[in-house]
Amino acid sequence: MFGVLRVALRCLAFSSLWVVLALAWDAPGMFAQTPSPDEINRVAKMLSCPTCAGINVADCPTETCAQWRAKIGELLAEGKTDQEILEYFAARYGDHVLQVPPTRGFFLGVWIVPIIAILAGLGTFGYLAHRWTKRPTAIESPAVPSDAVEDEYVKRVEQELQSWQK
Amino acid sequence: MIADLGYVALLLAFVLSIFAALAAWLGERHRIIELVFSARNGVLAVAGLLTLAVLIELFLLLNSDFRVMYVAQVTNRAMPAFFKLTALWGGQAGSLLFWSWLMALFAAAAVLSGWQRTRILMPKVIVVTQLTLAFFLSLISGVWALLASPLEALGMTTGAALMAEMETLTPFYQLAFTPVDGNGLNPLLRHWGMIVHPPLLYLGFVGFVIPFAFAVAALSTRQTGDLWIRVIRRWTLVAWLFLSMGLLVGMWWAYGVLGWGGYWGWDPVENAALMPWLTGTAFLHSVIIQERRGMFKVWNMVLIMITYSLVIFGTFLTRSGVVSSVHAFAQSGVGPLFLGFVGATLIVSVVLLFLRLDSLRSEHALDSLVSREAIFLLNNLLFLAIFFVTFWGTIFPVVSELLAGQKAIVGPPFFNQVNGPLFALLVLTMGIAPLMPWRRTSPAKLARLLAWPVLAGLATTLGLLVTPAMRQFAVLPGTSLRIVPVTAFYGLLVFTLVVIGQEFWRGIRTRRRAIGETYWTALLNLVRYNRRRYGGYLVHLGVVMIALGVIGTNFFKVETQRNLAQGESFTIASPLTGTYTVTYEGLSASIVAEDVRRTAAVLKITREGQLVGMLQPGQDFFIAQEQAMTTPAMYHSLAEDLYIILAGWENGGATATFKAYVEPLINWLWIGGLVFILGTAMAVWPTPVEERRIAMATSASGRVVTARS
Repeated sequence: MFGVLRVALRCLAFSSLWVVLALAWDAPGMFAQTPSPDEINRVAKMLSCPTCAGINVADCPTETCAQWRAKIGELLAEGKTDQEILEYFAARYGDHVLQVPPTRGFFLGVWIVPIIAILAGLGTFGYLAHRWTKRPTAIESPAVPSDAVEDEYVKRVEQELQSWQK
Repeated sequence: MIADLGYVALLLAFVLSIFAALAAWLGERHRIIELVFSARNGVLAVAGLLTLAVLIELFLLLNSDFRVMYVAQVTNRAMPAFFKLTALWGGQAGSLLFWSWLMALFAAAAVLSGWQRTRILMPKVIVVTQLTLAFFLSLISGVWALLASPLEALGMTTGAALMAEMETLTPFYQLAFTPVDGNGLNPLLRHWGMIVHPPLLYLGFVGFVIPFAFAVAALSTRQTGDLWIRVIRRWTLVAWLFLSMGLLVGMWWAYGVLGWGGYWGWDPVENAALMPWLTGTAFLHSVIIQERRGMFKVWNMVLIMITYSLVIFGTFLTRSGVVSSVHAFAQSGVGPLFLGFVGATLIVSVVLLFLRLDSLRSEHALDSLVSREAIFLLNNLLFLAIFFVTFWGTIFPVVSELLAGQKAIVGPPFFNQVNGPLFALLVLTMGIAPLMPWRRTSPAKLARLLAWPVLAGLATTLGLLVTPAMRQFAVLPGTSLRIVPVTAFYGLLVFTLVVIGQEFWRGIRTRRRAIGETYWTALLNLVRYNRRRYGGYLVHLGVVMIALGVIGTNFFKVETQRNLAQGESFTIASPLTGTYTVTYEGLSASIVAEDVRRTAAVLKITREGQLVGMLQPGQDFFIAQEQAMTTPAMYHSLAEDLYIILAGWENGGATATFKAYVEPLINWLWIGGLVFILGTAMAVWPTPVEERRIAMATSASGRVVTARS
């Protein structure tokens, strides 16, 4: 019984030593000191609370989110980058824990559709403006003389004055 | 017993609203004037009956009659009387009753005020408002439950179950037993912001039904001239005023209560209120073009129809829970019914629009791209673009789950990135528009008007770029790219500001020249006799101030989280005023209300060595709900807020965790909001000139009718 445990412990110790070495090898940030709450919040902001709607993990007061923040701290201490941490959570809990859907597959639609719509809107604007300015009108509009603007303004103020004083 | 009376009033109101719609329709069609009068009386009776129903509901809430399910859901014995009353809009059934009541009052006011002047439009106005009202009343009067057994007979068991459940949605539904105490109101809602926020939003939502009703009436009676546009102008402004106030108060509440240092989270519920505001604002602007130039008639119809649909859709979003999950949608009958209603009204509107396209021809063409018409068109497209982005981001989770079977969340980063630049462009059109004369202008003329604003704007941008405080952000990681757009945007704000100032100055100068008034009288009279125009400028000024706050908090917010032992302190540097030092002096406990206990941290705040004051951020514990709520503490100044929350504590307060934010320029958002409201109120206020215009439009359309008949 104890033998098995001892072997398991030894395996664990050995493997964790290996992990530590392996990480140290390609992650110089490994021996950085424990991450500050601000660094944790930076990452937590990019994740959504899995249980409550509309709150990110940094602002969420629930127990789950506290555990997630702790986990982010661990991952940061291991030297993981922000992106790797986000991928870690997305892989485990699903893409809907990310504040913005990942840019692949169907999710690309969230960005592409508005861009298409805006371009279509601009196109419509250009087309309408072109057509309208070219279209002959029933009432021919005489060109406004270049200094009529100020006069028109003065006239309007005066008109409004008069119509009120009547 | 008294609850039964309320229920009867509700049911009668439902039946009468349908009667009024039918009577108005038939009376107009067969020219039976008595029926139209009867319809009008029906509208008034519905308003009366719903007032009675609301009074009875309030009575039940106040007396803690927990046999009534709604009362038990939203109140408990320990709540102060005031909160018991406001619990009327604290839950689903009560909110829908409240909404219906406001709708009934608006409809009655519209019919009474328009009866003499716009008689031709009245029957259809009654039809639209009463059918809308009937739909809402059908949700809370339990009538859909009647469908349960026929559906069951047809073998549609899920549908039958959903409809049967609708019975419990009436605010007068009585339980088989009387609970000892109720659940009480969600603690988050026990704040004055949440007391006034829903009524303001509902007033805004309901208000937009009236212009829509007039639009439909104008279309169907072919009175598509000046009349409906002039009549609905004030209704639209009133609705818009309430909606704007609702949004601002909501932001203020979120900032002061939710304790995350923000005020707008692009939450589906927030978006639901923002979307009709966006299209409504577009409508307010493009209507001016129709008044002045007889253009954009179809477009205006489309805009008001979209706004109406969004009002219903918004109520649906907030009431059905569809966005949090598609499954929540299918668990209640409310969602499918709402969606069906939105779809039906959209289809009817579009068909009507197509049938009447011939009467909506433009009277003028666009003379030039350098004209106010063109700028207004651009402004409309921008509003619609922002609306579409918001709409898409809000419904994308649903679309994704339905079409691809993948859950997703579309959070604030998406909205900020896509809508941010669009809002900036919008401010640009806002700045230029007043300088653009109608029809066309010469480049030289425009250049002369633009000279000062452009110079001031450029000077601001360049000045900020070389200012050390600003440049400091250029070197911070992640912000280096922002410095250019941010300073450019500040330049844009100054540009707009100078344009507005210039407009006021030109008006004052003209008055001084014409009638020799002093500066102050000239300013006062200018505003007094042109409320709409200068009220509009004031609204724009408010927008500039709001934008100032939005940029400040979006780009320059500083935040930090610290765990402190008693006596320890931390620092947080403000980009504008200096470094704050926050010292934790200990915890204190107090009793806020009968059922609320507060634990607060005592913090000493100094800035650059000077004592600023004491702040006490805390957590309120609501005993009945067993729920804790953070209460942020703030130090306000015109430059910024220092905003601190107590996130938690250990060992009886030996150590505690704080989150601190410096929110640059945030108070300009609230000040700008007040200016905005003031400007709108000024534009809404009736002027003699405006009254005369409506009278003229009425007599003109009166002639048309006599000529035809």
